[in-house]
Amino acid sequence: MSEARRLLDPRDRGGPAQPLLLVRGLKKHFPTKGRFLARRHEMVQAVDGVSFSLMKGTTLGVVGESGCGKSTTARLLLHLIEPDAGDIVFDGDSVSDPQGISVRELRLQMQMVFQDSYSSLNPRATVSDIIAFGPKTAKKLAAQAARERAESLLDQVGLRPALFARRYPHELSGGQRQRVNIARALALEPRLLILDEAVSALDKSVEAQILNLLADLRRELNLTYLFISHDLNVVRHVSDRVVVMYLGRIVEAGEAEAIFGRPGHPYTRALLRAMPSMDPDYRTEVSPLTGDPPNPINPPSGCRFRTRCAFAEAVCAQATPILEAIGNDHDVACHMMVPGSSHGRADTVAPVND
Amino acid sequence: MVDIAALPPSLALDEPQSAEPRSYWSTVADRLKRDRLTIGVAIVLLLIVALAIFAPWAATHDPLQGSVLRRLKPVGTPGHLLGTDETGRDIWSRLVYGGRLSLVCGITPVLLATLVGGTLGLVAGIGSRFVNMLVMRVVDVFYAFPSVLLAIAICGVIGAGIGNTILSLTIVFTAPIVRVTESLATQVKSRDFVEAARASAAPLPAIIRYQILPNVLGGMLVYATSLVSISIILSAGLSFLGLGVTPPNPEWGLMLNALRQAIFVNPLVAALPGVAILITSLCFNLLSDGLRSAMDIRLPG
Repeated sequence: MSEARRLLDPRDRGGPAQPLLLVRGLKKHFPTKGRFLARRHEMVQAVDGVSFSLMKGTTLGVVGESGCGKSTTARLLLHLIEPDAGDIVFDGDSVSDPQGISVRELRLQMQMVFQDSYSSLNPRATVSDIIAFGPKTAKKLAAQAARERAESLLDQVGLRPALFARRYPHELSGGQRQRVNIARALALEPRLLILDEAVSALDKSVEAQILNLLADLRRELNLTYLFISHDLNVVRHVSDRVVVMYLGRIVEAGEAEAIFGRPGHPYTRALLRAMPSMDPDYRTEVSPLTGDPPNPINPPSGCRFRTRCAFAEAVCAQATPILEAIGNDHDVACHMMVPGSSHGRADTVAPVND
Repeated sequence: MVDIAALPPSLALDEPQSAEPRSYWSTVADRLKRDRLTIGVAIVLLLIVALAIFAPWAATHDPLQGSVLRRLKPVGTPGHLLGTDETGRDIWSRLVYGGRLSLVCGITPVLLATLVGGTLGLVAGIGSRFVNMLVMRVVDVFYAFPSVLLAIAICGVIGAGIGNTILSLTIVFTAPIVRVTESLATQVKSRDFVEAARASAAPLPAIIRYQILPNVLGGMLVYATSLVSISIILSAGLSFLGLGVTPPNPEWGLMLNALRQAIFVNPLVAALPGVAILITSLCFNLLSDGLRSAMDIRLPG
């Protein structure tokens, strides 16, 4: 069924080999709220040169600590925040190219589910109105048709329309609200869904139900997911590929199994070691990462992780590591992993064989 | 299998739900209809407004025609149920006619200020940082003066009269309405659901109409209704100072001023215009409270 849909989707342009989303050098520096008439504003380097690609029908997980730029990246993709630099290519059409895809079209094909299920629903609109808003205003559907669309979507996300269409957000539970959020995101028939911590605020049993719903919808509607989360277990469960972000940059990218099985970057390794162990015989006893990430206003020179890295050497402060392949579809931005760099461990680290 | 997540919080699976779609405003109307106090207050207000509109029929005497023989009659005098004033004019007739000017002076400035201030506040709240700064700093200038003083100053410059009273009160009320609307709009704008609406490729007018306005209008309306009573009192104050309506026209503030000398002779009659102001402003305040609770649909109602 999914194969048939993929072939039938009239919006597909480049075929399955062309990435649905290609992001190149995405950058956003926010000016801090300086004093009135301050001569120079300091810049928060929220997202600093992020590049990745997302293949059709797959799920890309984005992990990292709070404040590493995951949510900013999501908002940049939808142009909810204007990027300072970088390009977004959607199924071969570039946003920066005047002949390419417009921001409006991009938003029609790419939708987002927010973390805070309450704040992301208009408290003064019924569930039906919330879902029908997009079709009614962006696609100019008649009120009646938009309402029918909303009801069929409610059905699709597992909420009985007769029971829920007329309710207000405050009359729903957290899981129900997140289902409404998903229905709203699906209302414009997007091809790509950005899930920004979409299940993080839910308790575990509800989280599992929503994850199952998302998996079903992905199959039925042939969706592609960008799954942003700080929960490594969930990311591992849902993702085909994973990128690890630290302080506005990608430090490691690769297939989920490679990242979780053979992490290359010291930060990824620390993150994985910090995961609570399910086996009482192997407790996580020492915290592998101490302190908070450095201030993104004045990030460390060279490798941004060096201030918390046990293996930091002089070269880490001097040169910025770039993403280099250490295996088949497995890239790491760390001097240690590059044979011949002046890092002391560079030649002793065994090459990872994927 | 029963999907637990799909159950409503109350587990009321068979809760009756009509198929008729409901919107926010129809929900608010339903809630208002069930609020007996607010309905009662609204009826009293309608009665006051009707008396003012139909003053020629409701009045028993000519409000301007006095008689030296009938000066300062007490409440309950046959023919003058609410007594007479210092020149022998019928209080009831003057109150009824005075309601015309007092209500116009109470409601019109608030209506105009809500239109002007609400628009400016929305523009400031939704617009860029520069637009916001421009509007709000200009508004701050008006905040530098106490409202009574500002009204007196404006009226003093442009002269007495009902039109000028309305204009000066409009200017006085615009500043706080801009501020209230701006702060509401700024709060709403930063909520995720507005961001979600932007992400759904909806045009800006639709976002303002369906997402921002329903969340701003409530607070704005409630604030504006509470200003009506202040406006009635302020315009009465201006008349009292001789800056509003000019005698011998009947107006509640002016009547209060004229009758103040009679307070030791006939205190009940002297207090009557004040009672009229009190009842009307109390009604507007209660109406504003009722509106507030009807619009906050999260409250049980």
